[in-house]
Amino acid sequence: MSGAGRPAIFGGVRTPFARAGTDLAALSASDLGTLVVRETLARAGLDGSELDEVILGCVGPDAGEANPARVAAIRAGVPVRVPAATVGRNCASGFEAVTSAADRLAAGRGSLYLVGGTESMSNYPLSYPREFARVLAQASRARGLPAKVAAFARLRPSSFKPRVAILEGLTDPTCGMIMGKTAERLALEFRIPRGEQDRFACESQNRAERAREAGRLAEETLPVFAPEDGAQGSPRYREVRSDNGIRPGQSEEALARLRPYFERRHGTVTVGNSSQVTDGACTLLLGEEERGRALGLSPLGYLRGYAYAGCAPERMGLGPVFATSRLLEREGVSLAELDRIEMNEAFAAQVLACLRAFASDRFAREELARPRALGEIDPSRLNPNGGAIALGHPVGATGARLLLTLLLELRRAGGRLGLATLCVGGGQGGALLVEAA
Amino acid sequence: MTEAVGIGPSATAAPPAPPAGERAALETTPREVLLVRFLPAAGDKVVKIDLPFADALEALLQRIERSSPRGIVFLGPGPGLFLAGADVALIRDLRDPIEAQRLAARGQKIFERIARLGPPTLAAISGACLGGGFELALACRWRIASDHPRTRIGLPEVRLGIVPGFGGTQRLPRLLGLARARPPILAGTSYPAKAALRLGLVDDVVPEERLEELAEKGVLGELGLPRRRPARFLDRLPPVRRLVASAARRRTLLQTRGSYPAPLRAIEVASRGLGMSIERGLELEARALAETATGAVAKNLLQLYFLRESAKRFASLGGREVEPGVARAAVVGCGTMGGGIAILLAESGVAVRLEDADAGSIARTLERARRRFDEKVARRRAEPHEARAAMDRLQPAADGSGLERCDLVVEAIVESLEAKRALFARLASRVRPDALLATNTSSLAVEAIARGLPRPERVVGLHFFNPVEKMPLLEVVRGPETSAESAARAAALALAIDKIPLFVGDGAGFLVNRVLGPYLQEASNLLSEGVLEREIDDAAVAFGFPVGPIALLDDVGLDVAAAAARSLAAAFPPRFEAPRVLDRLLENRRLGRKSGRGFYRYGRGGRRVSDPDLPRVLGIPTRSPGLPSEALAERLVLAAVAEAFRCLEDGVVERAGDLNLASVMGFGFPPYRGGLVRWALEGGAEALLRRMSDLRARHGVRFEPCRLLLELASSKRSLA
Repeated sequence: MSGAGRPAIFGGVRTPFARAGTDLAALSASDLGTLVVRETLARAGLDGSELDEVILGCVGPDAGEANPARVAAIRAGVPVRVPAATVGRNCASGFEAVTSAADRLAAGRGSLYLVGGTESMSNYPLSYPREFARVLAQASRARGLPAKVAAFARLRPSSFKPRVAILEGLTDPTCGMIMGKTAERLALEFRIPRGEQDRFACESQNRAERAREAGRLAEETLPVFAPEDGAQGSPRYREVRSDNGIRPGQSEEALARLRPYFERRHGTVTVGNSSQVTDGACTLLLGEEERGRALGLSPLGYLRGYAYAGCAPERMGLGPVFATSRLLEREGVSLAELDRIEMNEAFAAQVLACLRAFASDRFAREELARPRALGEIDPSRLNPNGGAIALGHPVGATGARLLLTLLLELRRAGGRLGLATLCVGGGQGGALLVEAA
Repeated sequence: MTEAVGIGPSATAAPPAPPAGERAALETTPREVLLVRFLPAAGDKVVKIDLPFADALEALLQRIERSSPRGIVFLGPGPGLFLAGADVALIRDLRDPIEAQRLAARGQKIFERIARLGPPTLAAISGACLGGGFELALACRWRIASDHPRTRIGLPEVRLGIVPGFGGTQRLPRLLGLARARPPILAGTSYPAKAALRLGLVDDVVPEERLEELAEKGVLGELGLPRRRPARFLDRLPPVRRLVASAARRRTLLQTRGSYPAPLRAIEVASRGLGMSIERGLELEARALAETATGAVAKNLLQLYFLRESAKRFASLGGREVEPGVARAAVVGCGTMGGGIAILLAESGVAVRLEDADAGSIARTLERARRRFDEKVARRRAEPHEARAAMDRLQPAADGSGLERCDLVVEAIVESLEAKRALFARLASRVRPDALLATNTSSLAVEAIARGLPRPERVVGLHFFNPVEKMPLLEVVRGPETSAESAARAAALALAIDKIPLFVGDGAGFLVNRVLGPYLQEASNLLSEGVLEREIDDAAVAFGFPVGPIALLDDVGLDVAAAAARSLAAAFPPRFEAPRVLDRLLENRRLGRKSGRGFYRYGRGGRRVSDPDLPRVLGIPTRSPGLPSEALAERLVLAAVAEAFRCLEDGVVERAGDLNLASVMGFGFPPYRGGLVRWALEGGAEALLRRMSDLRARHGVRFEPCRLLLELASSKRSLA
């Protein structure tokens, strides 16, 4: 993916990120997607007919929207002849949208794509156990009242216990661990004390707060007019300008007072040093440089390469190390050459574990088949505007957000190379290497 | 088989008959169903019932009556076409009641022959099936409607001031019973297919593509369409009928204040007709038609109908219809006016970028749109996904994003020339060269806003009235540099959002406000003379206005009204004066309804009550000189008339008819009176001149008759 054909990224926009159940709770995944698709096109001066496809990541689409990317595209005014796909790779779904488009571009299947992700974690459904659904289906097929009664008689109280999609989604089906427990595991393996995790979380909050005050977050954010949630009759609308997960004046002392959430007695991972459950969407334009320029667009940067890598599901937090190692090797780039790194903060413990793994010769030898460590990551180059601990982690949208934030930050810093990477529930990592324009 | 004039392969084929002309064609299907296809007159898009059509139908019926097909289907010439109704020009030109009755009787007789045909009959409706068209369908045993988006079914006659005259008042109550037949007859609503099915006006709704196929099955009894049942026994009982009729009468009187005879006559003949044979009922109906169609109210309403149609001329250029060419628009300034404009655009399918420095204005616009669209869904006027798509078209735009792709920008910011000029300069540098730039100014000249701008020919005034969603008129203001194409596109846009366009000159107040101004000013003058505000308003309401002038001022807002009055006073002294009375109230922080106090006080729920403080605030003795209501109304309206003739003289509008249309659609002049100029000239120009001269002598220059009126009175000129 080098040379003239490398995909250019022409900018994009995201909604404010809002904690689930708050400012954006009334908006579905396609509602959020519509807002950013529409605005990305408007800012680029396009009407959508120029696109070859719309590709969005989304992990938990609404039951009524099997392909939220398609719904959002049509609602945003993209002509119906332009196809749209919703793609999934759990937390890397936003990356998956970007890299799918890059692959299609490289294969010569198109020249301009609208990519990104959307997630409404507020609207993750509650569902009934399979047993309940089966009984309902049998009852509806049953002929005569006695048969119907017999069908219903098979129900037990447990049949009604709702399954909370968000909890199930955050639990790994292969290792049975909820994500927070995988972070606890890394904290033990890499000996990351609670204090260090809280310090990292606090820094993320403080950086995000400074970035917001300096207007750096506003550069990537579209103010959204959201209807109030759960209104009787026609709702009132309110302008939502900024991310609401940022806690101004966050201190380590305040974080230290929180109780561990996943391991009540001896754990270290709290809601304060974990990413937040969040609603949001983000999209970007990705395409051939020439095509974009012909449409009056100038690139923000280029996607130089990408890699995904797998690891043990119970150590999913180390995914960035595996993916980055593979990517840097493939591209012949060293860690030290990276001017900016956006690593998703699923958990403070998980990011800190990655930093240790990056710097560890033993880890490099045993797990990466490299003779020496990848290297130390300079904390000032890592997530300079805060991360998911402050902004939140709307699963399907995060990948696109990391890429947008990274490109804007590279431009601001005058840097050349940047890395966006994240861990993926289920034991994967994803990494994108970008070059500033 | 469409060519077939003879009656197909049936053994009982009718003998060759004289050709039916080009207005209807016969065709027989292989299953021996006879299709009677209506055809439009040369040059017409829709099929109208006119004399040649009646001739053609009579000729065909002669042949049909001698044949014996298994069923007969009546249908239009193609998708979206059935029978749009009787030719309105025919009704307009009726003068003689005897002739009118004869005309109705002829139509009734044709339809009665259809009703008496031996084989089962079915009307296959697609598109407009209105008035006489629906009355023909009612003469069939069954009616099925296609789901074509243009399908509309109903009896809109009363809206033109006449009674349905081809059997509608008799057959519909016999089909549905009086209680269910009442709303379609009284309200004159044109219903889409699904609504018509719910109301029982049709027996089934079918896909457009299968209309012919299912019509054939239906008429052969294969669709299980309901057997025609006579109106229920209960409905035919005289006391029940009288009860329904008198309730309808009471309600109608309340709504129309007795000024509109048609609905009352329609319900009367419908109710009485149920108690007699159809022949006698039809005779009753024909007499009611003759009476209403030749009456003054129908003539006035028909005139307005044609004026409304003629407003479409503004959207043409050299005889060619102009398209608005607006898929994307931006509205800058989303207050009361801008927000409403944005909502109408979004509703008609235009994507609208919303710009306003105040986020609250944008939020309020979205709320207002959502309420409107939710209500449409609740009333089944729209599907939920359509409402959501309309909401999606309202797009808050941060710092002008998306302007580059707009075909239209509507400016609705504060009424400041500098602010508007600065905005237009910014817009001109960003939008496409062929984008239309519109200002919703009500008090500034379009010329002043456009001056010095690159490509000023694309700047046009679009003067909407408040409330935007309700007021049917849209003044299209042409500055000296506005191109004919820009103006025509603006008019086409007006039609696309269901407004009536009217070209007006670029002078202070344009047309409506300039004519309304003297009327409102006169109300203030009367108040200063000691007439009670209630008396003034009651006089106007008795004349037929929906609200009186004083209440209207309160509704508009006294600050807004005073600003408009000042700009008129500056432009046209001494006829217009500074708004002293309004200023007195404004000094006392009375802004009208919005501040809870104006001329009136506004209680809970917005109830209007008299304010005992008013005389003190205005410094006037509250003594009513006891003028009769008619005299009050005449003074108010003649003040407007004097200015209206001046507008015509100054060329603010082209035709006197435009003034009639503008007065009814722009400020609520009673439609049954036919419009301002029509009403004024009812007794002749000379009589008008006498009344005006008399008022001039007693009340001042504002009643001074203009040269045009003098020339009209001396018959040197006549109005186009």
